Amino acid sequence: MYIRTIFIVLIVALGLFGASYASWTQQFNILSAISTGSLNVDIVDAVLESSDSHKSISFSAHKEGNVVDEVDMNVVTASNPFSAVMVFAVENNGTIPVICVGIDQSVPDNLEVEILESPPLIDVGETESVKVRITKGYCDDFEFSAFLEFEQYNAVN
Amino acid sequence: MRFKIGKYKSLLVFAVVSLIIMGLSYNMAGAQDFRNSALAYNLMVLVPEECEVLDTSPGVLADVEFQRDKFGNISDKTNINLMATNVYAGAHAEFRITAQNVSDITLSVDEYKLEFEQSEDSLADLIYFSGIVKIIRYGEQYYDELGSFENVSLTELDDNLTAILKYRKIDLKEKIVLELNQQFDNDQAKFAGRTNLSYRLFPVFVQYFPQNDKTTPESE
Repeated sequence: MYIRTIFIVLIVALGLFGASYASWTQQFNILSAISTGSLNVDIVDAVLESSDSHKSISFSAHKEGNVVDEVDMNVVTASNPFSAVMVFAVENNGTIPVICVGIDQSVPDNLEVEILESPPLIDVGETESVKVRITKGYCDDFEFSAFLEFEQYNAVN
Repeated sequence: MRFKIGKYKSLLVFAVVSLIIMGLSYNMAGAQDFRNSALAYNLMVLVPEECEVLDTSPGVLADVEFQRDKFGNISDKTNINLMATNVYAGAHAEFRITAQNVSDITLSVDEYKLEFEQSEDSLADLIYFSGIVKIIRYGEQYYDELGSFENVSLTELDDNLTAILKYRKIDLKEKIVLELNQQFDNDQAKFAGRTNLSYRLFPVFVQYFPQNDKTTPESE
C-alpha cells in the first residue's frame, strides 16, 4: 500500500516537474532567408567612335529585340593594319552590380581586340559604355566573334 | 545471476506509466505556453523599432520582417525574419536584433539552437558570421558588451552565442542586442549552383538562477 502511494506521488511530482519546466522556458525564432542575385547583361547599342583613315566605311548594329546581335562594318582602306574604336552600350538587367573584366581572347591571332575603357561598376538597371578597339591587317570578307566578359561586382575587391 | 521479471513487473509498469505521463504533461504545457506566448504572456519579446538592417553591400536587398495581422500590426513579437536577397560573393548584410525581458523574473539564456537544411544549392558553407552581443540596462542609454565573435561558420553560430549568453543575468526590462553580420565567401567560383539558404536560430530563455559562488569556509 505504501509503495503504491509513493509511486502515485512520484508520478504526479514528475508530471508537475515537466509542466513547470515547459512553462518557465520560452524561445523565439530568428529566421533568415537568403538568396543570390542573377547576372544578366545585354549590349543594347554599338557605335563606331573613330577609325584609321579609309576610303569608305559603313557601320551598322543589328538588333534582336533590344539587344545587339551582330555588328557589320565594311571598310575600304589602305591602312594596314587598320584599327577602329567601337563603343558598346551595356545594360545591366540582372539583380546584382557587375563589372566588365575583359574580352574573349579566342579571336584569330592576326586580330587584336582590346578594351580601352570600361566603367568600374555597372549598377543594376544602369547602362554604361565599354570602349573596344580592334586592329586587323589586310583581309577580305572577314568575320569574327568576340565576347565581352562580365562578372559580379565583388564588394571586397 | 538472474532476475525474475515477475518480481519487478509492477515497478516497471509504474516507471513506464510515469514516463508517459511526464512526457504528455510536458508537451501539453509546452503547447499551452506556445499558445500563450503568441498572445499575451512572454518572457522575452523582440523590440521591433530596434530591429533593423545596419549595413549591406551595394545591390543587396535586406530587410527585417515581423508577422503582422490584417491591419498591419505586429501580431507576434517572438518571430523575426531576416531577409537578404541578391547576395553575391564577398557581399554582406548586417542586422540588429533587440529583445527585451518583459517578464517579472530575471532570465538567462539556456542555449541557442540552430536548424538549417543542407542541400546541394545551399549557401550554408559560404556564409560567415561576425557579431557583438550587448546588454542595455533599463533606463540607461549606454550598453555593456557581453562578447563578440568573428568569422564563425553557420554550424558554429549557435555555440558561439550560447557561450556568450549562457549564465548571463537578464534583469527585468533589460534589453539584449545582437548585431549580426552575415558575410559571404569571397570566392565567386564557389557560388556556382548555390542559390539560397534559410536557417532558424532560436534562443531558449529560462529563469535565472544565480550560481552559488560563495565558498564555504573549511572547518578546522
